[in-house]
Amino acid sequence: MFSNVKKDIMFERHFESKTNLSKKLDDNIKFIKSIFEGSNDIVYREFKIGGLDGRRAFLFYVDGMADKILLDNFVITPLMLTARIVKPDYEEIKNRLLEAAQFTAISSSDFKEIKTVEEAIIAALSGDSTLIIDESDSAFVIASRAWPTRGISEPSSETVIRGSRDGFTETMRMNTALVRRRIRDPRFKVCQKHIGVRSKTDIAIMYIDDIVDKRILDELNKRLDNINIDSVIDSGYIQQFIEDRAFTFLPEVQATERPDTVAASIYEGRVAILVDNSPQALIIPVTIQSFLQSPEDYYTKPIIATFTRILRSFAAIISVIAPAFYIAVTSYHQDMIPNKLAISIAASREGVPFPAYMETLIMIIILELLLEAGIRLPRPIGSTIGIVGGLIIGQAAVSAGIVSPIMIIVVAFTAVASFAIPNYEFAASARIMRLIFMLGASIFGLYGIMLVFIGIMIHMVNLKSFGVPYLAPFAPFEKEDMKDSLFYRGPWKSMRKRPIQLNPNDLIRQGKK
Amino acid sequence: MKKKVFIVLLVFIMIFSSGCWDRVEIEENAFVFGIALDVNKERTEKEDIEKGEIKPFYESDKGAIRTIFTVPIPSKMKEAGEDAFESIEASGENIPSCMRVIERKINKIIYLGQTKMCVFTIDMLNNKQYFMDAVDFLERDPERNRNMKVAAVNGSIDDYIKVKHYLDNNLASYISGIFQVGSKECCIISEDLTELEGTLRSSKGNAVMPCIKITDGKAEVRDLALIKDYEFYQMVDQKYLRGFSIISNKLKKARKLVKYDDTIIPFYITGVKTTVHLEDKENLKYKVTVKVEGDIESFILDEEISKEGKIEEIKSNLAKSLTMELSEVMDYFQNSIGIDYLKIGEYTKKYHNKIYEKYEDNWDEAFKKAQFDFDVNVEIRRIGTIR
Amino acid sequence: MISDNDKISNYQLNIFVILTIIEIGMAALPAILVKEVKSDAWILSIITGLVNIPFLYIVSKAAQKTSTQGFVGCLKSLFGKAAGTILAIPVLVYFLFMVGLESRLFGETVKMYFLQRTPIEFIVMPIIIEAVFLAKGGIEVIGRFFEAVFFPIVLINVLLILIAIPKNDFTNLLPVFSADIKEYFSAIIAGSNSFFGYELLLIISPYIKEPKKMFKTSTKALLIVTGFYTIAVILNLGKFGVEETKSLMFPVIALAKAIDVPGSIFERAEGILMAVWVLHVFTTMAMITYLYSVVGAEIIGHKGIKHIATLYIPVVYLFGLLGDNVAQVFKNINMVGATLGIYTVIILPLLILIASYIKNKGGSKG
Repeated sequence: MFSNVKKDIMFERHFESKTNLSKKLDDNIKFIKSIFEGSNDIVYREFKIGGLDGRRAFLFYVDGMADKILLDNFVITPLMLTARIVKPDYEEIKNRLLEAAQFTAISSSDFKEIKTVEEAIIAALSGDSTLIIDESDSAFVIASRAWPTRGISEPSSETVIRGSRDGFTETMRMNTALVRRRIRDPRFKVCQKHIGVRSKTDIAIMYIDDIVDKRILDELNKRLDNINIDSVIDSGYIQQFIEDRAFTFLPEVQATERPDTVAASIYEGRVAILVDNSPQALIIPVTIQSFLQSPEDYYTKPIIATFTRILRSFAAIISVIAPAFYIAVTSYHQDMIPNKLAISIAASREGVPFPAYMETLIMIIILELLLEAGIRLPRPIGSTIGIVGGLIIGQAAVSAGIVSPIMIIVVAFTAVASFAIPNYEFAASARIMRLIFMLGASIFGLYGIMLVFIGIMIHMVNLKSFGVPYLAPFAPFEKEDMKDSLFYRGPWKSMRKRPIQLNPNDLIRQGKK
Repeated sequence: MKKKVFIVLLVFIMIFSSGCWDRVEIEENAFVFGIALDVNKERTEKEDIEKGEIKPFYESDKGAIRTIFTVPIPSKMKEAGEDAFESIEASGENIPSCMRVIERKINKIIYLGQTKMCVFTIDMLNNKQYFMDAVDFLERDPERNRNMKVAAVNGSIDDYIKVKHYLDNNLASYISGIFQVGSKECCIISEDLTELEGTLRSSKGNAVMPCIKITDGKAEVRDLALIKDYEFYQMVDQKYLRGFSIISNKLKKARKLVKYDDTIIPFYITGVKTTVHLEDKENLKYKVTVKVEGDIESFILDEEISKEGKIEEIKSNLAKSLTMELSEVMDYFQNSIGIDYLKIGEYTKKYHNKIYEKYEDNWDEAFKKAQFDFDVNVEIRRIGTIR
Repeated sequence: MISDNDKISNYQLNIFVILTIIEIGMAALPAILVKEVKSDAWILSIITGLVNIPFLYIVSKAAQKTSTQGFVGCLKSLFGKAAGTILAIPVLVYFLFMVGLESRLFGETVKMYFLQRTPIEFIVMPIIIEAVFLAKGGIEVIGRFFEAVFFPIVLINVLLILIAIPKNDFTNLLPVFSADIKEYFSAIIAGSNSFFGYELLLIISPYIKEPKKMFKTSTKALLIVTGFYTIAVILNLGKFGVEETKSLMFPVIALAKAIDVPGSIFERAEGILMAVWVLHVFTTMAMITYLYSVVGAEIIGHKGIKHIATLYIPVVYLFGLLGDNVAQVFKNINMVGATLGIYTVIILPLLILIASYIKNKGGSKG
């Protein structure tokens, strides 16, 4: 019966073809076994329900992804053994066998009835198991996913002093649970999709129904439905598909491993996306603020939070402009530095063969190499190499006369400031911006820095993330939103409304007592 | 997409093929800390090359002025040795031509952006045209430091260069340091280039310049050089400077000695406020109100100063002495000098413009005939820790 | 999603007007005024600002008329297609000149104070190109950019003003009213050029959210600009006095050079000033680029303003290269301002108002 079903049709993205199960079990078994031909990790189990003369049933799952204990004890045992022992008998029930199996025998709680072969196969490949019973054209999918997972641990790239220490893992269901615990609102929806033609990766779209702006949701769904790639290995793939503009160095989607960040964003009116096999959740829409804020800011007192935010923004600016500024001031505008400093810089540069911009370029390249290498090395060696490498290479370079000591200070300052940026992707963008600023400074000095600044501002001002301008709340100026911005965090009592920039449906988050 | 790549490539090619014109490495710059200008005495005959028809060449080896730039050597500055700086000398028609000569001799680019001091010799000030040229050059060049201090040197420039600059590692910082500290602590007039230009312009060629006197290889800042019509006019003795600063309201701190009971007691003036009022509009009678406050620095050891009447006596003595001093200073300026350097004219112009316009053309005559009454009020604020 | 995408709010309009009017000509304003009226220059700057308010009224009333059809559309409907187009062409030329001369003047100041050896073409070219980049995005993008840079500009300007206040001799502002009325008039005429910029209302009025409040908002902006100019003139007079200010070419920049903040990292504040000035100049240029591309597009009947903006880059560049030195550039600016400027800011709005009044009268009667 299935001989004329081409195998390719099964793997189109939208399941437009639906091959119904046949009432004959043998046909189903043959078809399924032929699909899985060549793989030895699929387990097939045929058995009979209700004694030797009972109805044949067929169960299949993937070894290593399905919980065998659950299947053995709560699916096969009730159907095989218990059905024989406990009344009613097979003979009485055989016309309503399916109903009986579904409602009285199979003891597992998560359970679905399906009618197509595609769904059966996808279910098996996702770790569930499928039970097909003879003489019926429906099958049961029993949720039995169990595989070894990494325990919940603090995400290494987003550590906080104050705040929870749990982070997402690679199992999507555990991740959605972590977020659910923080949003016990029935209007909080977790909506699932499959993306990736061959990978069929589960993704979950999470939002609160009566807060979020529906236009954002629609746009997101539209973009997700447009993805026609065969595999989605990490949330990064999804991120690059749903981004507004590919040709930019600025991140347009926020990726985080922390459930509290995700929950807070959902409360503000954003939408979060969890992708199976990836511990990084995606949050959209995004503004530049999202990359320079840390969850700790909300858990500490307003004055401290404001101070920390100002410091962080200042650090971000310094890490981008400092080397360029050094080049501009020492090569073009020597009258801007005080007398004694100018002499001492000149003295320290006297033996150096390279001009200022070359020296800066060399040091920044060494810095980047150290950073990149530090990621690959195992943890204890990595940090040591960073410090040791920095110090020793710097010192050696100064003694060899390749760079001047002032340069080392500038680069060290830059490196330290760049670690203050909470979001890794934005720090990477900052590195690129730093290089562009250096280029501008080495050609036109301070004027070049200003030109590059204007250029980058023009670029940022043109960016919109799902309709929200990138530079909100500075760009279209919203006074209310400034209470929680890059430089200031107002006390919680004053943050009555959600961010207006996201245009939420329910503006008030805090009522008056 | 292709168009964008093309544009980016074009931009890059343009940038990299043209080079960076203004980039000067910091060690290629010779930071000039001090400029010293003098008339070239070697040029005996007045050549008058500027008169007559256009000539092809105007540069000559025997230039009209001598310029000495003091340039620090950065690597030696750290050791703070004696020869941490070099004096580079050249002669030419004006400062830019001197710079041209120098650029052939040294391996760095002359950079005036960090200059601290500029001194003129009295001979230079005597020569109106050279002085005006020099000031105009310093004003016009956008690169040079506007906070440069100016002074006149009472002596020869070679002596100036050889001055021992104790407590600092080069001459220019030493001298400009004296000005900086001195203008706050004792009554030295310190003059920025900006102020010099301002006064020169607003009074059509009258200005004052502090003077550096060199004796035995040591420099001392004393006296004031007066400039009239862009030329050196007269030197004012140090003793008149305190009064001068008080009347022009520039005094920050100073010391005055006062007599008390056959001893001389020092009085440290910490604050002065001078206001000038025009009392009689017809006859130009001014009343100058001076409010002084200060501390007593030392007294007679075995007497108590806080006894009744002692402080009052000191105060009245001070007031008397100060009034007499100010009258004498004013007299000196009115009669011996005859030109309004005390900014009385400016005050009149600002507050009584109609009256000023009457005398505008010959203000100095009016100044000479004007009468000044001084009303001095002295307060002694602190007397130290001993009774 | 932000609603009201293409409409300009009052706050944005305020910022547009402020940032468009303040341009590089302001750096020379104190010298221009002091040359005419000596120490009354600060009074003059206030008076010139106030004198511009009636003109602003005329412009905003005319702008309300153009708000339905756009500038050239309105001209075409009032005067007929051919006459309307001809009336719009001098406006286009005016804007082109302004961008070119502005960039040239700015390039001269940068060259004089910072990059002495760089050829002026390379200084001027990048900023023209960047202005076109910004103008391509449309009025919404321009609005966001102006808002984003407004705050830092204000902050740094306030900082500079605060640094310049001590060591200022404010008695230099006296005597007051020492100049004649004749000198007052010539000063107003000379200084008005720095106050022009509000003709942008004519062209962007279709995008304004509340056209009724146009006049009030722009007046507020003009008053802020006047205040800012007056403070600059006062500080200049205080620092340099009348004679010196008269003789400087760019007193405001010289003021920044002369600021002395003891014990700070930056001895020379003019670096900060120039950094802020780039933003001032750039905002003016970007706005005028947008204006001429809209006018140009409407004249030809083309929809995409991006192409017009890019197309006119060589023209703007060439206009900028006119004039051999700074003195000539100043003369050119004055000439353009006196002819095309007055036409655009005063004469044309008057014509629009008169024509629409006549038409309305005719319409209601008939």
